[in-house]
Amino acid sequence: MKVIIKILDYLSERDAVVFRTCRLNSHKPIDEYPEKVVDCFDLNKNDTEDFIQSLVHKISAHLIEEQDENEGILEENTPIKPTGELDFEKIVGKVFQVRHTTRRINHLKMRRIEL
Amino acid sequence: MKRYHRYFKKCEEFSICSEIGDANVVALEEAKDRYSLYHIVVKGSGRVAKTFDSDYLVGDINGVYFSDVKKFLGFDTVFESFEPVQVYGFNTLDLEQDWDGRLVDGSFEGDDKSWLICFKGNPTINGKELRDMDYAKLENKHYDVHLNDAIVGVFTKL
Repeated sequence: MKVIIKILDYLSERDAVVFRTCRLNSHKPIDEYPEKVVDCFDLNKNDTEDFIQSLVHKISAHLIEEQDENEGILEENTPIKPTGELDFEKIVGKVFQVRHTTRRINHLKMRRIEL
Repeated sequence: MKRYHRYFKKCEEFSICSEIGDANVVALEEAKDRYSLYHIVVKGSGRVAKTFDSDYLVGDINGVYFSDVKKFLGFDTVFESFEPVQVYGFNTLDLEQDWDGRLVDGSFEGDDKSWLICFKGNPTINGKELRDMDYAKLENKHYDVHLNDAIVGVFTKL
């Protein structure tokens, strides 16, 4: 996931920044996302790159996931769970939901039998 | 380089995962991927715990090889093998759907909310010889089991 972040203000008396963040490929402007404040005491202030990177690590990824959840789902994107025997005629035109994982997982061979 | 492979199969009402690895492998699992209700060790031994928690659960083919791991649902977990290991996980498809699991130790009465899985060995059930990772939906009838030292589990939807 590519993330963008916009710093809106630095609150020096609190050592905190006000920011907005979203996915790079968001179809909404970043200014339409809510403002958030985060304390900087535990962020890396070595240079700008380190600071932004540590800010993203601390808050941004989690926040974007939350924002995505709150945005709701378009009616035409509403998914169903993939279940049952594979029948291409039955799956055409349907939207399925899957849990995405980046881990490499191999197929486990199992055999259904009748007892 | 140490060997560690993950396997997965989604069945009709549940899923099964398997992890096969060398000794002294450490593997992490994120909370979002954790759907396992039971662990079944069919080879070797290892331990699993919530990340940074000292309260770990040991699985050992020569000891406790069938464990209820529901307490780890919703937590990042870490697994460490003590020796070359193979572990299966019985997983719910929906975290709202609980299951009861047990090992088969002899003949039993089945019911139509249950599934039987042969994790290891060649038991004979109702005259049919099973092999590793055969599974069946049970019915409301008697099941005559000759276990032959196999590891067979029955899992019931609650």
